[in-house]
Amino acid sequence: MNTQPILLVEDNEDDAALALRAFKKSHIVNEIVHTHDGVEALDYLYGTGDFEGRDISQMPSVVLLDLKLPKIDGLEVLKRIRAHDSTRLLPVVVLTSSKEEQDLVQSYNLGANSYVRKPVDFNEFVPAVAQLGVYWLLLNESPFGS
Amino acid sequence: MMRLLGAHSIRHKLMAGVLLTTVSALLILGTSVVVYDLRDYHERLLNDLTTQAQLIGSASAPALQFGDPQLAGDYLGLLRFRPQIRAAAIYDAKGALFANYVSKVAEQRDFPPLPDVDGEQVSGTTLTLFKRIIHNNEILGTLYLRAHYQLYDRLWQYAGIVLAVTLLALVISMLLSLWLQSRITRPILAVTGLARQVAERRDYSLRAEKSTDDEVGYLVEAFNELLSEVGRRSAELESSNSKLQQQIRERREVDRALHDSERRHRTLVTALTSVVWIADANGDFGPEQESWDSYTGQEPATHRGRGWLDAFHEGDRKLVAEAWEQARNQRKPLELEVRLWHEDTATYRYVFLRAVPLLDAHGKLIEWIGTAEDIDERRRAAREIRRLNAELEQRVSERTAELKRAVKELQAFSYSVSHDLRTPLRAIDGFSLALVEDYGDQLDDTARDYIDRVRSGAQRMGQLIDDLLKLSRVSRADLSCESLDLSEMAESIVAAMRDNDPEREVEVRITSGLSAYGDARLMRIALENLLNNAWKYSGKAEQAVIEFGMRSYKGEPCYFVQDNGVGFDMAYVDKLFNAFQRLHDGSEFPGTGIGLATVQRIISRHGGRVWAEGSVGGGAVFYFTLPGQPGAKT
Repeated sequence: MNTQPILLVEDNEDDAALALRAFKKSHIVNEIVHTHDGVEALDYLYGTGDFEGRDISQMPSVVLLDLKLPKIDGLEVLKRIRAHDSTRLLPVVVLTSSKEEQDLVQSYNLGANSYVRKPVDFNEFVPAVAQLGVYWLLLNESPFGS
Repeated sequence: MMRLLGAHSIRHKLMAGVLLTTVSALLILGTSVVVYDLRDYHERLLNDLTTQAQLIGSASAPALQFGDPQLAGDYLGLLRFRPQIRAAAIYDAKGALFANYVSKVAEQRDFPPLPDVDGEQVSGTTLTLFKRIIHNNEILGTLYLRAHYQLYDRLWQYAGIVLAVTLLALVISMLLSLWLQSRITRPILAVTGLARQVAERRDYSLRAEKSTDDEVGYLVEAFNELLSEVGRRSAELESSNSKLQQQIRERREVDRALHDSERRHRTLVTALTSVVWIADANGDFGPEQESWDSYTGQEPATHRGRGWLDAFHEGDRKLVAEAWEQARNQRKPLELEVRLWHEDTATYRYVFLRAVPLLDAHGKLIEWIGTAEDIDERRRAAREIRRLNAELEQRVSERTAELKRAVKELQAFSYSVSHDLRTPLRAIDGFSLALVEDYGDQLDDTARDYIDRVRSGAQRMGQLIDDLLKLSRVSRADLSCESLDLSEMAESIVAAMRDNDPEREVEVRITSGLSAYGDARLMRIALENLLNNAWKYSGKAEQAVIEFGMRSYKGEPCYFVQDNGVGFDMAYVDKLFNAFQRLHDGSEFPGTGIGLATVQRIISRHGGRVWAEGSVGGGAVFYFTLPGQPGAKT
């Protein structure tokens, strides 16, 4: 099993807490790196800003990306991840409240690997996250190795 | 004479000719005979007297020689047997009267005293002759004879005879001429009379009767032929005449029509507000341009030739001149919008200048007919309209921009709703659940019930938000229409419903082959809503029946979805299609009240109508139409 961290990009503390709880309930034990906006997420990935000096050879196994984010929004973050050589192949799962078609289409166009909608019912949210874990952490071979 | 003859009829001419001929012949003959006879008489008488004188001279020679007057007297006395000799005498050589004789009937008894020379002499009715009596070349004496000369008597006699013969001949020739007339002139006169009749009555069927085979006969025949020829010609003439008259009548009608047309034309030209002008084949104006002059204030002296071009605005003059030359070269109509001087308002006004070439039957250019229609007002109006249109367009584009902005805001709003409104709900639900899960042992049943209510409220709110977003998407989405098989669509929706709710026993009847033209995605949402409703509200029926098909509603074919469920009160039918309006209790039949509003949006976006009929406990029917619906295929 992939032991690299999961990068959660989520500005809402409630959603973040619920996500963490869902991971926990799904028995996902990987480290969860929680960033609160697009800038912070990119800083983490490229070892800049607050994450100056981070070993950027250690890439997360998957990025869970919210779309509505302060400063730099999720789609822009996705665009930059795909534009950058070091993160071009990084698995990105868009995790958002929106069911808007435009979000879905744009996400896939920009190279999102998956699109998961956060349901209101937490009982539905947990299986969704569990499935994510199974796929991206267990089955999928990360391009960055384990 | 000729004129005299010419004035008379042929009958008189003939008679005069015959008479003249007869008279002149007789006169010439008579005169010749008389002259000849009188000469003959004169010579015979003279010869006779000369012979008598020689006889008596010879006989009385001895008496003279012997101087015997008795004997000489005896010889002279023998002359009594010649009564026409009235007196005789013998003179001796000395010229003295020797012997004499006088007839008993002689009126004159004297004798000339001396003999004259030999010879004869006529005096009145008396012929006297002197003859020498010569014997042996010796003049013995002279004989004197006096005879009665009857020449004039004879002349008178002859004249009488000639007259009588002439008269007789005249009578005979007159009779002859009368006979001739009857033979010659009568047929001619008949022909003449006939000709007069023909002339008077114009009856060319009359024919003269041919009575002889001579020239008159030929004349009659020729006349008859002439008559028939004249009759034929006359008939031809009459028919040609009537044709001519017909032609004249037609011509007159054509003339009148032409005249009317011309008058109409003139009136039209007068009534026209346009200026009408005529240019010759060279493109020059002639003197008569009344309409042009009254508009432009030009006159024959100024518009002559190409002077008319000066009436245009300086800026347009070159354009007109060039276009005019081009039109003339190509013999093509000219059409221009240019400014022409208007004398009355003393301004240049826009006119629509038009000219067409007038060609004769051989395509030769005769002249140009042109008009100049004042379109100044129209142009101004058009400009005003353009300005208003531009303004309107401006306003429309402004309004469109506003609308676009509004739509965009709405989109941003719904985007925001979609993201942000759900997040707190998730927190409410998630942490409520966490509370139960993590601290459930510290909560009593009431607390857990409250938490359940909090969660179901949050979830219901989430559902509401989802439905609202769906409704707004339905309104926004672009239609991409295609041919649809609604029956197939309904079948697949029903199949999905059966999968979701396998315990329900529902009889679903779907008419196959129902086609429509519409947006597949939206029509599926509409049908889903209608069929879901039918499924939901028939949930309490003993034997639920749902039907999808087509039927005629007040003569209009329409689709319908019918169920035998709880139905609704028709009093609230108006509220049925409004968002968030529900006719049933949420605990009884869960729902957000947005489904039918969505259906209505979809159908009306397709240009169709949707309406419902139902009764409480009697089920419900939802009808809808789609424009251009092909309807049932089978």
